[in-house]
Amino acid sequence: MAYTIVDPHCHIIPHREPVWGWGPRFTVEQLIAMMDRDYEVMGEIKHVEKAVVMTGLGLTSVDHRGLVEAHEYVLESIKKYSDRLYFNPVINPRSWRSDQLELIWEWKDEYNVCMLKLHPSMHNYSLPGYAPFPTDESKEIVYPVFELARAMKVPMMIHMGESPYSIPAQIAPVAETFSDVPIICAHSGANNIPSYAVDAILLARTHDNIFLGTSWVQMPELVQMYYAIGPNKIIYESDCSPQAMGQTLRMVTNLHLPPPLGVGALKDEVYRMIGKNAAELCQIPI
Amino acid sequence: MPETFIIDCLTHISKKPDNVIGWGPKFLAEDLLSRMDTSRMVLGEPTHIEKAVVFPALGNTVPTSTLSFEEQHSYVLESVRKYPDRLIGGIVIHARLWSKGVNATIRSMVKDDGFRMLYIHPSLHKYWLPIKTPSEGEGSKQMLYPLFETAQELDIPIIIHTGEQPYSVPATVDYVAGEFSKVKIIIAHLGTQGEMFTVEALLVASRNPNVYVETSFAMPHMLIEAVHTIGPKRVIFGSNCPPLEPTQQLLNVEEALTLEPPIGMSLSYEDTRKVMGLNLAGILKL
Repeated sequence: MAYTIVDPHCHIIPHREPVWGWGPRFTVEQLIAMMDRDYEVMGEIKHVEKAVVMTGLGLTSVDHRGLVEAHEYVLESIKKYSDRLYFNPVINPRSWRSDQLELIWEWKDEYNVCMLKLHPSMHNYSLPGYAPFPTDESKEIVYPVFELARAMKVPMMIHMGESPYSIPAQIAPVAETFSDVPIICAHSGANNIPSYAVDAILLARTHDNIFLGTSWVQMPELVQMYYAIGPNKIIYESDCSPQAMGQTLRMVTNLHLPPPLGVGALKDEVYRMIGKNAAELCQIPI
Repeated sequence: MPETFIIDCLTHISKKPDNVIGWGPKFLAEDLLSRMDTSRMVLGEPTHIEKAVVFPALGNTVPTSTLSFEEQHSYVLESVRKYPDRLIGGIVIHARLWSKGVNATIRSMVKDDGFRMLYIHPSLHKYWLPIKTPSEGEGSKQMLYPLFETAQELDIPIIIHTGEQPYSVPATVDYVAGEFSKVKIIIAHLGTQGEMFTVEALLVASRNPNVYVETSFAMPHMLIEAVHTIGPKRVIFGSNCPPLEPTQQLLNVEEALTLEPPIGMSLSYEDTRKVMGLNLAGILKL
């Protein structure tokens, strides 16, 4: 088994975001430097070999930028570091409809597109529900994105972690409609409300196609996650920037420790969580 | 001795799993010392955690516990006597158990065995902190003021659990912090556990110079916000081990404070050392 670390959740942007205020300038060189820092993993010094990058989220939500303009820097960076970086376009389904989605298809091979990202909180919409109202309109904007993921054979990543649009259980209806599309529940719902991770665990336990990302998650919920859904559905992610890679990685590798601090996870299980699962889902060679 | 003198503000030890709430594991003093002495690099040098404030397992202190106050603390007392250079006793006081006898025992623990901190847990022990409205706040005042008066007299800090509704919202610390302005109050977890009330915690600390914040469970960007808001002298490292693991929690603090923006804030090593131990050493008069 390859003992490779893959971080499937990073953001780069060459300038401060225009609106949000918390999307800082974080260049691709800063990201590469962060990946190349020394990280102690179960007694060995390791580096993050590959990362999946997204643009600064603020660029996708304001000023009516097109898909290309919002992703210009990421595209350029992927070209520059194509052996290290993979691409997760952030899709604003309120603005970018079919013609733009076709562009993502065209980017797939040239720019290592390996996943598609939705952010209901940022873009202000509810995911489709079970009832025909009031979320039928959501189907119109969200289903095409899932259909694209299905056609491209790539997973979806959906931001989760606060009311009202990013509560993990809200993923269930669309996950059932697109049961063949793997979905990574980013942050396991814990971004701003750590206890939402418990809901995400239930969601992943009851839906085969749902996987859980570990950024912003706290250790007690990570331990629960391991026992509830097993290491095959847990995916290390840093959310760098703004999060650092070291402490986020350390939390997952701490599952190697015996209880009560860890769960006594095997080395292969740990590397599955910090690399292999993401690599398999996103078809990243390791 | 390493240049960085690390003191862990918040740890728990217990001879057996607590049999009441299910999340307090068996974790011996020796288990804790092993984690304190684990090999790790902090601020560029190999170091260990020099001292830790140890509290009993919280589950043993819930309202339905059949253990007396003395029994709840017997293992901590035994451990502090066994490792007086490494472990500093902490007292979890269930305010509903307050009595003249408990008061006398606490005084003895402080004077004879060097206990240095009181811990109150409104969520676990089911009460509101005092508020101004007499009809709602009077009962809480009657229950809690003797405890704060004792802390003031003994000149020891009180750490208050925060991080979820309804009893542990950090804004509720504000009133009692103003009433007992000579008592040093530490807001545990920076207001983050099941939910994230960090900004509220910092607002309270901004208004009350006797309020400090402890770092376990805190999100890294909020650690940065804490130092920007109240300065480094009132931020105190704690691991909350178990369930959290000290190296990961130290890394969380180190990366957030010392890495360059936007991941960190480039805080000086001198100020970071304050957060990691020197601030607490001052409060505890070590």
